[in-house]
Amino acid sequence: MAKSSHIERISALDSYFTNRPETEISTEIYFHLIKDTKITQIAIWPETISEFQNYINTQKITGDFLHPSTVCQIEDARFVRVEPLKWWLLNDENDVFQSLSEDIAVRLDLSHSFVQLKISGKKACSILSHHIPVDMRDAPFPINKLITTSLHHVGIKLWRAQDCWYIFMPRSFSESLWQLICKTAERYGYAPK
Amino acid sequence: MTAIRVSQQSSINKHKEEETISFFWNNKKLRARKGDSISAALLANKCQIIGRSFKYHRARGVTSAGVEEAGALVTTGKGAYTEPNVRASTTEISEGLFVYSQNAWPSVRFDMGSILNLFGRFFAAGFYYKTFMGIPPLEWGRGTGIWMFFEKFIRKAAGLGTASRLEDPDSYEHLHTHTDILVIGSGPAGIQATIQAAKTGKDVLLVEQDYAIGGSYLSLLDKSEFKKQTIKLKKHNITVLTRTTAFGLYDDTTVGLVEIICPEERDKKPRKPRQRFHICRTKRLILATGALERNYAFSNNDLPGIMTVSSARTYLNRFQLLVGSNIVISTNNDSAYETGLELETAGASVTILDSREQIADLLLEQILGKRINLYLGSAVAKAKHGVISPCVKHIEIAQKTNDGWRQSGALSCDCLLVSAGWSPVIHLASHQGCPIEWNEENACFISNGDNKSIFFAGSAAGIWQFEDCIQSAKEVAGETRTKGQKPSSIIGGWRTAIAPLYEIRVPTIKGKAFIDLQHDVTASDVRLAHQEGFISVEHLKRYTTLGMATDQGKMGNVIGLALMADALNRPIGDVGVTRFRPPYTSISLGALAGMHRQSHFKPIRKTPFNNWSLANNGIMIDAGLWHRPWYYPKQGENLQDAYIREATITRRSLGICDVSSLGKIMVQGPDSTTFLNRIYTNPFAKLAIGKARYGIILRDDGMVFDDGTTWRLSENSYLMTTTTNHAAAVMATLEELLQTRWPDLRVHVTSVTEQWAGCAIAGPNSRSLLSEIVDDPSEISNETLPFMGVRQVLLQNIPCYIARISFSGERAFEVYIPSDYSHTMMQFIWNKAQKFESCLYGLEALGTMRIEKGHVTGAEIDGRVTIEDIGLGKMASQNKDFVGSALRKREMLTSPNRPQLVGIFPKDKNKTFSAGALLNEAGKRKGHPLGWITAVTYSPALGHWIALGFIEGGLTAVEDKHIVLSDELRSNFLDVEIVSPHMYDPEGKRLHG
Repeated sequence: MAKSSHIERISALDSYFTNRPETEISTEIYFHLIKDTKITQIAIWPETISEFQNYINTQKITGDFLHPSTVCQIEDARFVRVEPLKWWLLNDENDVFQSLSEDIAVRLDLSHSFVQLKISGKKACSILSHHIPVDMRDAPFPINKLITTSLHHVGIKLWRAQDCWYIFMPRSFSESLWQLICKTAERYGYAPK
Repeated sequence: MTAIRVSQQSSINKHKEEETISFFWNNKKLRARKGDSISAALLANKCQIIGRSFKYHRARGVTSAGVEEAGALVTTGKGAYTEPNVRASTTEISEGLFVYSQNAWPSVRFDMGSILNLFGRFFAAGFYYKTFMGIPPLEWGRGTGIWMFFEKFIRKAAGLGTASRLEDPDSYEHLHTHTDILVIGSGPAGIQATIQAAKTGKDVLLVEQDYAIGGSYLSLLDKSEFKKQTIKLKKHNITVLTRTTAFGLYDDTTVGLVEIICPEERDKKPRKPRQRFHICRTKRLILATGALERNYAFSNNDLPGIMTVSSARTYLNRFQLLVGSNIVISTNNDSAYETGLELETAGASVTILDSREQIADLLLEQILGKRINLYLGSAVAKAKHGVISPCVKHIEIAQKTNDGWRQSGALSCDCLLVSAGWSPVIHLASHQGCPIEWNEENACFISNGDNKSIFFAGSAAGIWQFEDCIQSAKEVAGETRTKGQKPSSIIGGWRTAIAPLYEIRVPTIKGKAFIDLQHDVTASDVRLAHQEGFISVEHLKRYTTLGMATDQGKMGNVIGLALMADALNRPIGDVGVTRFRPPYTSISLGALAGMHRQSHFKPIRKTPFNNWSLANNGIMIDAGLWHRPWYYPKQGENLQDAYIREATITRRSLGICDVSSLGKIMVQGPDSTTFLNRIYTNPFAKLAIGKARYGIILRDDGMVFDDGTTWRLSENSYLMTTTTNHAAAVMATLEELLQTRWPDLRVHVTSVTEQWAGCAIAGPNSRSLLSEIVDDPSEISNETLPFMGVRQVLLQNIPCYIARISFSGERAFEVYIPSDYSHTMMQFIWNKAQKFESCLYGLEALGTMRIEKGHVTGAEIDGRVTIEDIGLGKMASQNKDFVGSALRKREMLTSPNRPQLVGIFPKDKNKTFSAGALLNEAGKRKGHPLGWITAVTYSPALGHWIALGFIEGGLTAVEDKHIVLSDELRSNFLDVEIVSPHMYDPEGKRLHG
């Protein structure tokens, strides 16, 4: 089925970031809404893990993709094990799993399910610590770790990248959670327009 | 007691000496030194009566300098900023602070309520329980009538401060804090432990409840060691939180901390919260929480001017306040002597009464040549106030005899200091159930923590000597003491053994001897509890209220237990101790709520169409966490006008409704069909690709759990829809079944509720509208998309799903659009809908149409109904097993007399009724009803009010009965007609059209 369309995706937080894709008010904290996030879930079966491993090994991959929570790079995409039998493939432009048989794994598009927010700046971790219970210090939470945690009782994914944090919020909750984060950031001097 | 400022004792606070600030005490402007506590400021201003007691309204003054304060409780702030029951001893005075006495009228010095003290003998423990059980014989066995009358007077007379009824204008926040080592308490042991721990390279957090670090260092005359330690502390990268109370210890060494933000800091940065609640997770917890000095019970031991010995030392060396000029110290241990010496040096005349008959030579040598009188084997039998002043002026001395105490003389004084032993602060360990043991030698409870991750250091471990305290801190922080190992430091360390002292009773002396000053619990109350059989510590606490006030019995508990042990003639250790519960000190509810209040009380879910609906005049309603469109009023319309119009237009032509909140679960894998066949009551094995089927899910106990349609998208994938309410529960159940009951099935379930925006397009013109919006209209003809058909189609080149299903009873379709396209797509659909008579309809009209059709929702599927009860028994397959298939056949679930779903019409069609009303047979309004109403609406299609409900035996059982609806709450009683629940288009012609 054809998939090219002139219709643009509108994130649940679009209205907060209109004309302000990179908020710059404070030097301590930056928020950036990642638009057009592409998330594909790959789910395998307990008995097909070795076949899956063989398939992955034919790809250009860096990192231990079997290790839970470790974000690997596969081609230009990111790949991370989010549940024992489920992986997320982020921003895959080359459809790296196109030849993966359904006998080995099933795929599911979750691109519209989550809102991806990038948080950077010196106070990023402090702001997140107001709401997220995990230990975000360097040793327990190194770069390229992605975990499932909660923010105001809502399940979210938290990914530490090189110089920023990403959170993936369920779309329906994202506005409520964003307002909470924003209110917290204001205490650190962030001034939303 | 008249406290006076003395010259600077040490240089630690010299820079502050000149800084004075003003504050208001009962609206009178007074001056204080910057850095003073409220207690210090009041004492310096000769304010000795700070409050009135809880029950008897006795005058109370400053009794301590710490968290154990039981007398000096005040209210601070005004209006919405009012904060009652603030401990004056631990709260820093700030510029312009309003401080008020509490529980007194018209003034704290002359309180009318103090008349209750004269009738004190009638208010002993258990007074309320006994008196208000009912006046015999009038209220015998019925109770409460007289209580209900007197309650308001008693509540007004008793109590502490009054909270503001205004909304709290301050803000609060939560913070998740992680550290390797958390040290609680910044006294000598705490600071030493912190420095030692920091040397190991680990993250260390030091918290101190006071507004200054130092703990007992601050009470020392010589602060040179403190200065050295402070410099060392600063060299290490240590986070130090002052004004922070560790109020509770929870599982896995998670500690609740409440940090009070310094008022000055908030003045500079108004966005700062008033308090911050830290949820602190630590690998190792060091409790350097110190020990609290106890008083003991003697007649009038609550008079203003009586305080603990250590607090006098704190006021002297920290606040430069000499608390009296003619001071009597009553003690049973060594610790009071050093204070006595310092007070004497500061200019006071000091008399020490030591209950021990012998003391170490070293102590005697210390006081030799000083203006200190020493009485050995002596204690205070009674304190007496002046003729006008309620403050202590004299004491009567008790002398130890072979079999007790006898009155032996009197002394005049203006201040009485008491030290009857020390209680290590073991509360936090108690929260976690760490073992607590009575240490006979030191007359206190001691805990070793859990010896895995919770450790004690310093006097909190029952170690009294300074050097031993430091050594214990080094051990636990340097991890030289490993798991399971006991401390090598010496517990105790008095030069002369402490002589247990809990009460002085002299037969010739009468008067109230308090053990819990905050709740006015006396020694007599404990004995009364014993006489009446309340001998368990738990019963003692509840009968007498000992330890229930805001100080949680920090001073009084041990005395109460000792008296009970004495009454029982058993050792104190055998009597036991109640488990301390959080919070250690009072904390505000605002801090616990944090930012989760008002609009952030709960997270809000918004559908992808939310903004579009708002832009099109949608009025929203909370449905669980969801905001859903309720109705879309035209100008001048109210709710009823709007929903009637919406339902009417939908049935007549076309309506569009946001149904995105329905749960959506993708079921994938080769065993998906088998899985669904086991989940649903009806068969799914032969559902064709491109078809949908309505299904019912039961719980294991055979009751209906949820319903919805499931669409077969391909050979091995299905899209299951659930009700909005049960989406999460159904998802959790499916996961659990796959993981525990059927792990052999190759099935994955994933929630895709967020992925898809759903809109229902309903009404006779629904297909015509779809023809306008799909890229290929042939895909939605009656043949290609028959009733219960599903197709993936392109809308504006976006792949979407269309299913021909109906909740309204009209020809209808549900269109599922990827969420990020929904806003644009809805506008596109709505633009096209303008060609027809059309409307947007909300939850209210949706409800109207489903009631007309007899479709069930959560109002009917409330967890108590079977599939037969809702008239869908035929959907329960006899040819397969499914979840709940065994237990649904239980006798009581298959009884023909069970309440069954019916429709209800008022006989007089002009009448209305409400959900929740009961159904009875005429003339039998009392007793168990025949049935009840679950949902009501005005039916535009039928022209009168209708309802759904349940009635015993269903429609056939009541056909010949005269049924009345009774709504006792609203006094609405009317005759009704019981009809089929399918009240509109029962043949489904419109649905299939």
